[in-house]
Amino acid sequence: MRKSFFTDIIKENPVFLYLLGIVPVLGTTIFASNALIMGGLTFFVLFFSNILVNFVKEHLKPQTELFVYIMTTALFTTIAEVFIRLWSMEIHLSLGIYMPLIIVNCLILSELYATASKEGMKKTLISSLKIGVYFIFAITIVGVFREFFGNGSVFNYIIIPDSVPKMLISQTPAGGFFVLAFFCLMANSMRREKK
Amino acid sequence: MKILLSAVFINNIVLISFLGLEGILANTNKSRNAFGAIVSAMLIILLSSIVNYLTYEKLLLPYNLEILTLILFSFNILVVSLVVSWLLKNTVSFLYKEVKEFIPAASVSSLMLGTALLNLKKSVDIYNYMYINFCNALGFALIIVLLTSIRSRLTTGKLPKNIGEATLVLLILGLISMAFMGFMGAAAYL
Repeated sequence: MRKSFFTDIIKENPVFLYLLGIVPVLGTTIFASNALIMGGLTFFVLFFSNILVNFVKEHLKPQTELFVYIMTTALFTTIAEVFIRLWSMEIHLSLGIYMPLIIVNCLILSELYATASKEGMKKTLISSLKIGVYFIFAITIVGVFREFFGNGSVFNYIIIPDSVPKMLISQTPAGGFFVLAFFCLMANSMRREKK
Repeated sequence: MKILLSAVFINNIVLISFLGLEGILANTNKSRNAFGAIVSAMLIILLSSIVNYLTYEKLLLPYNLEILTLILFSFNILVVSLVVSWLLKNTVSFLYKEVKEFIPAASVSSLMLGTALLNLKKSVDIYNYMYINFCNALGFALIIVLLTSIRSRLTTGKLPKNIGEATLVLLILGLISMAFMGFMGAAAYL
């Protein structure tokens, strides 16, 4: 059980398999601490909007469900933004445009479509917790890799001294694509191995 | 002209800020999908930039309601996408057949909300705001055209076994991004 969880977190991760919600995964992962905060905020919005949509699922119609989903996520994102602004203005500035973009995160929308509007309460809770933890893991591991290779530190603790030259490309947008591609390759080859 | 060159080549919205990436990954497997995605993105971005700017200037700033910006902007974009599909259905129905599947996906793309929020502080008036947003959409269109033509070659070639399509697309995007970093030097001459 325990072993399968640790392999599943890479193998079954929707971020690496279907590339859902990769805008924050690429945008905020220059430093691992930012990535962790972003993952936590996405988890918050995902969890509570799933619960709220699950309460009103009987009243959803095909024409209006997109409105309901976007308004729900927008509400919780606004709450999260107010909290972040009160907590620290520095973090708010460093997250920048990616903080409001939680509203249109594909991972949250796909979860609302697939689980919260169809299944029961218990299944929704378990599924949203699982997807949220998977997303936090994915965004943090990409952040750790990019910070380690580009800056020589992990969560702002310096590991490689300044005198050693770093791979500066991992701090650029192109490096983000390459690191994510590496993890996709890992997930894909782990899936193929079992068959 | 300066804004156009800067938005399309130097600060490309897809390669620098990663906005609209999910639309690019979903719609670049066929040239027909790419056309639909580009047309719907351009129409929605033009109309929604008018509505968003007026909402911000006339409603949110005078009454000190900036906290509602996110909710109102995302609501505006959804309403605009409905209006666009209604307009196309009643005026140019041959275009509507091509793009009707892509309008809902484009309305929840991070391109619309991202550009609407990013350019709010850069622009001086409504025409400027519309122009910057449209230039960003042009940059998005350029990347879609590039990636579609590269991916159509991938279907004919022989690929390694374990690599998977997602990995290849990300690697290609990374290489395009590296190539576009070469335009950074041109920023000094604009």
